[in-house]
Amino acid sequence: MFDLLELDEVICQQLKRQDLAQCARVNKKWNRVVTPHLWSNMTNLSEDRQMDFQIMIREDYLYEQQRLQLQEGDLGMEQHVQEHRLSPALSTLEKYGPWIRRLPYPGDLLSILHSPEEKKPAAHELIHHLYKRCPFLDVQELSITEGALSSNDKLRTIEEYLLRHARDLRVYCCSKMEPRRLKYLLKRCPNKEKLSLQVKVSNTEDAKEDWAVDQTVDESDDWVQLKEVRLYSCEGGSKEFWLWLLKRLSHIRRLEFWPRDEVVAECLAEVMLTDMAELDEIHLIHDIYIAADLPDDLVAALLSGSRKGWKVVKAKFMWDVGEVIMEALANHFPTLEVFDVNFCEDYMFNDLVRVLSSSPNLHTLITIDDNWLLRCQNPHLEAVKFIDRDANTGLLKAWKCETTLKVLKLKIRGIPRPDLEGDGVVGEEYPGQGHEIQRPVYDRLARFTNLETLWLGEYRWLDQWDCLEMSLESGLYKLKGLKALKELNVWCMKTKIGLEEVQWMTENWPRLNAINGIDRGFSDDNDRAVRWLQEYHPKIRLQ
Amino acid sequence: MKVTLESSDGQVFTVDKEVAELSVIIKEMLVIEQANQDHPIPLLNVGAVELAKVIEYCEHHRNDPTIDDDEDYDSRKKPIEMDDWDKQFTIVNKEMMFELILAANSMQVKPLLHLGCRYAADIVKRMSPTEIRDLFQIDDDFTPEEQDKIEWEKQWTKL
Repeated sequence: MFDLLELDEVICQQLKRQDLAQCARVNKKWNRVVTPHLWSNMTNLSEDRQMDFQIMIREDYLYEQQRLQLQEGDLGMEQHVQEHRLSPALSTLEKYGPWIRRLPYPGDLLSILHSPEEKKPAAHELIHHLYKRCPFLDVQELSITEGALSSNDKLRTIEEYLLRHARDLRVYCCSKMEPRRLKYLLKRCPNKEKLSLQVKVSNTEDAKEDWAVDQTVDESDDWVQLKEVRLYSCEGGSKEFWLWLLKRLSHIRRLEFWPRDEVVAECLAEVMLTDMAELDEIHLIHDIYIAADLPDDLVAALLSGSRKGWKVVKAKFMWDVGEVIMEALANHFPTLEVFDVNFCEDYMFNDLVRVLSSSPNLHTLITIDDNWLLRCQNPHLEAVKFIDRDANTGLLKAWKCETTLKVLKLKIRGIPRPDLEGDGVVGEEYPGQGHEIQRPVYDRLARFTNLETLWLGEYRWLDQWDCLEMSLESGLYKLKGLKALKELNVWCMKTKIGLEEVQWMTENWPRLNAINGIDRGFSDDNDRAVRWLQEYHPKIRLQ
Repeated sequence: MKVTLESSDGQVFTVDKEVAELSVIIKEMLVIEQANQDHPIPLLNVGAVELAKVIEYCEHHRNDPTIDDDEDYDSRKKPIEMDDWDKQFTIVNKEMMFELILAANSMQVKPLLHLGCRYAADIVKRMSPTEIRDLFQIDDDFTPEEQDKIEWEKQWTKL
């Protein structure tokens, strides 16, 4: 291209595979420059091509076997090969293999390993061949499932070629796996930075099996590089086994735990405080389809198990453990940055005020199931609690996260809305009470001066009838200072956002790029607002 | 503090030192020749037109954070960012832009070099080999056999 290696490199890095492919056909010089880039990363091949790639490995292997036999003087075979020779003299894999670093799909290697024992050529021979052709393969993500563990040869192949390079190791085994097999795999993967386990461990070792007996690896290995662990629905196995495993996670910073088995949870609670000194992020997800009911004290033990103090807590439960969570986290407010919690019921969670008022580093508070993980309803906070006035002065109390908070996803309810009629409406005790409550709620929101994302509604659930009106008349104008606001979400809320309101928003929130949930056809003015936004601010997303 | 630069065709430009220092080469020269700053720094491979344009770029980007050279393989693959000013800046004919890339390369102005490469990549994108050959005025030197083989290998480049 430019005859300057560095320039050509940067240009090639900017091009997609299709463009590189076109460049490779320009002339010989361009072909030389582009080829390494074109072949280095094969991850984006289509599914058909991925299959073809596997076939290519197999054919390349078979072709080489034929050549070898030919060298041994089998003339009949020579004739056969000459006649049926479709591949070029140097096979594609031979020619481009040295450039290949990333395979079409990392799992592909393993799907070769999943082929049945009796199928020829055997999986381990193919993998061996592949690595001969592509010596610089860099398989960092390695998913091992049952099929890949079905023979000694496969296991040795995994060990020889794959385990030592893997940085992200995932083991999925739904039938019972012997503890020593799992130990064998884990010990031989020295560079793992992430580990994900979804295993059913047997309580006994099968005496007849010999391949996984492993005396050679040093037991003291403590997995220094391992920083992230995901334990998904793990079950079975003895307490001794789990303690062996968990005690080796002493350097992890992030733990994702989907409990299924109380023994595993107990072992974890036991080890967290004593051995995991770096741990500061936990995702504790209780999915009703996989989970065992955890006793409250165990939940509490897990959620108070950070020696360093939690930075990130994500807790999703199918039942109300609000009080337990708040109790467990009481000492972690000073470090807390992200708090993402919800339960599968419309529960009043007024304790949230404690998190907001006491966490000086909090930048994200989420109680709305924003990634639709548990498909359930969400807790809410009562408006009068959210206001949080000082009993003596009547002024709003200062909250510690007022300048740090950037993301707030929270339902604020309990607001009388005399303007509505319907089952969910909360009536006023005296005229004007609705606006009297709303105004300080806006005042409170306005104090989060760096807020970028504000969700007050939740997607797909029941309409909120007792929510903020979000009209200028009710006090929206108080949010004028939220200059950083990018996203507003009022899904399923009975708001009164009209033309005047959206015009005000676009004037006062210069970075606004999404307003979700105003197009519910609640009133004609709603529709006018939507049409105006579409016409004058087409860049603002509406959903 | 001011620095003077001299283009290959003898024109002299005076710029702020911090602007000139966006060029790694000039920065290094200034360190070496600290005592000798009265003479203009000669840039033997860069013409006056290109140098003026490089200076325009450096003036605008004088306060940008520097590009880290030790980035790893993956992060270098990220698309190069372009703001509105950069887009305006690259509205020149392609010969000028290619000259500018070479100038940025010889002066080692990394962000401009990357911008130029992004520009070159954008030109090549979605072009057929024939169009690329026409644009760069280069010949197709593949034999028919090689051409066939490339056609066959092309299947591995489809997404």
